[in-house]
Amino acid sequence: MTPPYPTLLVTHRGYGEGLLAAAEAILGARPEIDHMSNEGMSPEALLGAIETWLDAHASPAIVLTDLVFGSCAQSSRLATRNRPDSIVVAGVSLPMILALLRSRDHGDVRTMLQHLRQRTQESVCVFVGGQPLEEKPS
Amino acid sequence: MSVVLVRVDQRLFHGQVAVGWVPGLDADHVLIGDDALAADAFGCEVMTSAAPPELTVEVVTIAEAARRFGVLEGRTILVVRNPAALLELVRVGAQVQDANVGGLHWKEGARRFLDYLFVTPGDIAALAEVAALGVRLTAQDLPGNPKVDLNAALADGRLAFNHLSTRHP
Repeated sequence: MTPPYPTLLVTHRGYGEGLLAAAEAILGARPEIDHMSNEGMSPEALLGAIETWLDAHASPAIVLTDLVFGSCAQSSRLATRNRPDSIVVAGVSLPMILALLRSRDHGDVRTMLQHLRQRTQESVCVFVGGQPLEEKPS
Repeated sequence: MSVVLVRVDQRLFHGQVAVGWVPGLDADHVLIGDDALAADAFGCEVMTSAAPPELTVEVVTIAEAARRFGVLEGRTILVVRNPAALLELVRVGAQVQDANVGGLHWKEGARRFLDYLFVTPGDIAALAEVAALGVRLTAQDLPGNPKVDLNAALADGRLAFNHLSTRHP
């Protein structure tokens, strides 16, 4: 499956590869999302690799990354500092990837991103003894 | 308490520091001593703005970090980028007794000492100078992982550049 915009996954170790494998298991096809790991990479090397990827893809392009305070997110933000149409989304998860792949017809990228964030936040649910921790707002 | 850890880490403030060392040492403050980053407003914003709310992250020059070293309150982790920065920190007056070398990733010309420690001859020379100034140096990426005594490794030749592996990721 193809996301609505060119998308790169930048994560710690094998997290991104695991996310893409899980998405493939659910979707039946590997998502057309590129992936790079920070394993063994200096911040400068990772920054350079992300910049190279951004140079090779049309804007707007999306970089999905994991920990908002981690080196992957930092390098991603630095890589987009002079690219106002490039987007970094931290906190990537399987629900986020699936929501992105299903994102269509949102008109513009900002609306799509708001929808993506909302869908991802809604995917976090807590159950205690099998019951929801709190009632969903009506 | 003041400075609870001095750390050399090429990534400065990142996941291992925020999730590993900060809770492990009950730190409430991370002070980054880095001249280049201190001069880059956007880079500072990227490094500090996403910190967990219970933590203060600041970026200052190495000279400013050294000036504040003895007067910091709370529990501070002081991070510098590389061994040369640690040497400068000590030379300009920080009374560092122990330092943790926790993350130097591969770069051109570097050789592997540990999976998280790739060093150049310049890195080794700087570490040797720091050790000669009386600082106890250990390598350790995360609090739960083994410590390696770098003073001993410098003294017995295990950290000699010619003895290190050229293998890299």
